[in-house]
Amino acid sequence: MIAIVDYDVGNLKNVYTALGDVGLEGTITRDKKVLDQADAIILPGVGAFSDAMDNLTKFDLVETLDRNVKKGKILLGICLGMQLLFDQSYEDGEFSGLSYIPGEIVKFNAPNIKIPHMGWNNLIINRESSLVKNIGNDDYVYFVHSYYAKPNDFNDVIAYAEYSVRVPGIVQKDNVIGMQFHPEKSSQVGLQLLKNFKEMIR
Amino acid sequence: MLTKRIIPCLDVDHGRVVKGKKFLDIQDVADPVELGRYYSEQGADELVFYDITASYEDRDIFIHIVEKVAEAIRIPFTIGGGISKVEDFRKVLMAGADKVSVNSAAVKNPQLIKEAALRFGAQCVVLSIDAKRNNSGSWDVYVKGGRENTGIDAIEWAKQGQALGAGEICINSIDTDGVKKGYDLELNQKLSRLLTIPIIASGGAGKMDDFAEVLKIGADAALAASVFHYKEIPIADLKNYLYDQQIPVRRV
Repeated sequence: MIAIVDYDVGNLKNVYTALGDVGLEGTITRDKKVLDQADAIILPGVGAFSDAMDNLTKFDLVETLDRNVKKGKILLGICLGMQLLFDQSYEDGEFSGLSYIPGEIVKFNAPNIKIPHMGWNNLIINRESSLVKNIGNDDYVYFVHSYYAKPNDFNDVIAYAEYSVRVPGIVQKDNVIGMQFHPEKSSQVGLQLLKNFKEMIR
Repeated sequence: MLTKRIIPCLDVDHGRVVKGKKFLDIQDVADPVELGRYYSEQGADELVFYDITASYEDRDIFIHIVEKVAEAIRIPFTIGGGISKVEDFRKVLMAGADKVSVNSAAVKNPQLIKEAALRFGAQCVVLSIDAKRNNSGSWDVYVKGGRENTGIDAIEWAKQGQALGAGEICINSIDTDGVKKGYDLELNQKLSRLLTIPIIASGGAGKMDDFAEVLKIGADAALAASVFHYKEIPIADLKNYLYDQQIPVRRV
């Protein structure tokens, strides 16, 4: 069972539905016991960084996430959920994140690009990982975000997309994984990534 | 490289997809869920579903169809039509939509854009503008399905929408809609240059080159309905055509 963390940050059903496509059973929950029992945890999220952190704190979920990450359980952050994995964000202020991956979240800053970075962009593999099995540089995924991750060590980036800068698309530090794009909205490529995620859990 | 998006638009009336010419002469076309799934498999980058009667009959939004679409497809989709308050945004987002398009209600109450962007994020707020050329060389904003001229300047309204927090602008040209002689290039080019958020061009696609033209002059996405519904332009062929024109596209 995969726990999809329910902390009032938008619709979680699409993630749940996509897990079903690859034969994974999801549970949308904020029950700490369920999170402790889960085979893996997914942290989804849309909206603003500070609101999301406030909600994780309000529902008293930070400690539970810390404990499970320390145990070695796989945690997958999607979109804003991935940004929360880093140390801090500069979205409308300066806010602390979960600090599972060293680095920060910054705004796109280039004169000739549209913001948000919205649409299908291709993933460029930065380093090998079972997460990108059967994924090549011509595979497109759906992004929508105005801030991006700047990891201290670019080696934590499995795959990135080009958008004025190298935008980390998939990050991984040990058992903590992040996807900046929406795998649940990325058609066949998204399903392949979720299949790869499933293989890692076993 | 970020690709240009091709977006089939499905106008839904009483649970069926329809397509009118200049918003009139509506003809029945198909089931929205089946058509959505078909386009998704053909390589559409996103879908838009408009509840075309909702804005003037004050009908509740077609939440059930939204839920069925979310179960059936794995690409992003936008819901529009009859969205008038923040609660409407919440309902369709919780039913599985990725974005919400707002039109007449935002003209009436521009703060709706700001409130929705703050609550759900700018990425899901699409400001849809129905624009028509006037005699003084600019464009007026129309509401209520293109039946009422507000006298508001479309370019200024688009800029204001961006400032209020819209994540994207869908610009529908009433002059070219359903005529199939190409998008309003001048309007799309002006907006693409002025705005920093993505622009979706809408209204007028008749042949593959119409898509190429509007994407080349700066639109980030091109929306069309009848050329797809009547299978005049298969999406896969269109993507190959655009690719040959050096326009970045995602091909499946």
